[in-house]
Amino acid sequence: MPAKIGPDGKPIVVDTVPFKADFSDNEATEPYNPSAGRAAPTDFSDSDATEPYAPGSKSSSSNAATIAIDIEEVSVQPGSSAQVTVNVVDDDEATQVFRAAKPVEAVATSSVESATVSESGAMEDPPVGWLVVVDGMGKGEFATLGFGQNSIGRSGARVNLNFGDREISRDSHVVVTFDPKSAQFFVSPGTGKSLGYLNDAPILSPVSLSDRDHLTLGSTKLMFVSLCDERFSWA
Amino acid sequence: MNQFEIGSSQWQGKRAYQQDSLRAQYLPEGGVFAVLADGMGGAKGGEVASLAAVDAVFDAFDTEYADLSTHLLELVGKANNAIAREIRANPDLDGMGTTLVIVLIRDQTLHWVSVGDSPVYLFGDQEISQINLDESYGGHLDRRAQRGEITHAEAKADTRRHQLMNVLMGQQSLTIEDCQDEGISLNPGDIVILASDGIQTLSEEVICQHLLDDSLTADELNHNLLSNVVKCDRPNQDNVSLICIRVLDEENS
Repeated sequence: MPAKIGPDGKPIVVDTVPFKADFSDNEATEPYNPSAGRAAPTDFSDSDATEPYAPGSKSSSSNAATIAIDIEEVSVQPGSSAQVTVNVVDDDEATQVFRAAKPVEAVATSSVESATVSESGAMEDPPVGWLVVVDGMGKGEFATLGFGQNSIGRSGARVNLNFGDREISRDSHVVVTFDPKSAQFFVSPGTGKSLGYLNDAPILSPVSLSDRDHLTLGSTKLMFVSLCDERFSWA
Repeated sequence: MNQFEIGSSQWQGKRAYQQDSLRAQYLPEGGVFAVLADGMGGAKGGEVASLAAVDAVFDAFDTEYADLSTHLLELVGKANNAIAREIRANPDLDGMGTTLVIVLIRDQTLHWVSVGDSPVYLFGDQEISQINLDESYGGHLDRRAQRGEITHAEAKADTRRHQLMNVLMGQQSLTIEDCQDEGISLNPGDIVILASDGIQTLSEEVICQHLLDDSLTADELNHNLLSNVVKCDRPNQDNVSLICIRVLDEENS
């Protein structure tokens, strides 16, 4: 393997290899050959080149007005956690960079929106319950559940249990949902291959989840503790 | 001492211009810095915008940053300023723009900032997922469908799916939705791919199939993915650019 660091100790930029579509040669070198076109979406418009979003163009979708308002709301997020102004050319050409408040396009419910009055920002995503690791790697750790759907995974989920148990799916092993209207919790299968277990029964479809139920993901045992129920609500 | 292997490649597809720009480098202490931009606008605007953005990010990147999230946002701002400067120098280019994905790997931890719809994929444990936010209108519709606000059929049927809801166009004010400064920890065998959306001719499932063979180098993986795109023979196939970053096992590094 060639050296990645030059003799002066400086990092080396990787050369970009231009790809030549050499059809005759491909057969010999390719280990995998799915049927051509299988992956191609059928409903793609011809002009799928990059272009900016223009509300109301082309389609007469009734969503257009709502969407435009969505964009406005995003760009004036008051809860910006970081704001950086970069001056490069002149003062009047500085780009103002705002960071949108987290979570990105979070599951919105009316009860969350009406509750965002706290100055600390904690009420943007208030707790509705917790998952406590009672056995396995990360024993003693806990994770907080919010309104709506909580994908439970290892690193790419809304709620991450990254305590060393590699048997937990990365994105979404199971989904714990809190429905504020009925004040009830549910657990349903995630998109990963592995199954989750509720009180030792496999989670194959959405089922009701109750305070102190046990969930098992990989070799991690969790106890579910509810905050929002018939005794308490954030509304 | 490097725990990574990077491959970088691109194909023009069936378009008249290559409007993607990309660059990646190894960091001296064993990390990776990679940038990819998918330009848009006119005959040469897209290329100018994406190249200006990538150049500006590399010029401004400083491994001695004080605060990671601030630095990542700054880099996006510099890229946007560079586009504004190009437009000021050549007003005909007004309306050009670009997506931008910046990936920084340090201490085996993956960070990124993303504007637009250029996907970043993470492959590990034989599974692949797109980890950055798809800021195309289609991505937005898919998230609305996931929340039950519209049906999946409505989301898929919209003709504006490819349009971008967030893009660098030299504008005065930017809102960054997707700045992952907390990071995702990487493990040996994981693969990170930055791509322009032309790769989405292939489904995630097909991309994943290619990545399962862990005997291939990053350049070979890129070659196989691009060959597969060629085989799909899509009319009007968009530019495809790939930066493939393999996290190596101890014994290979």
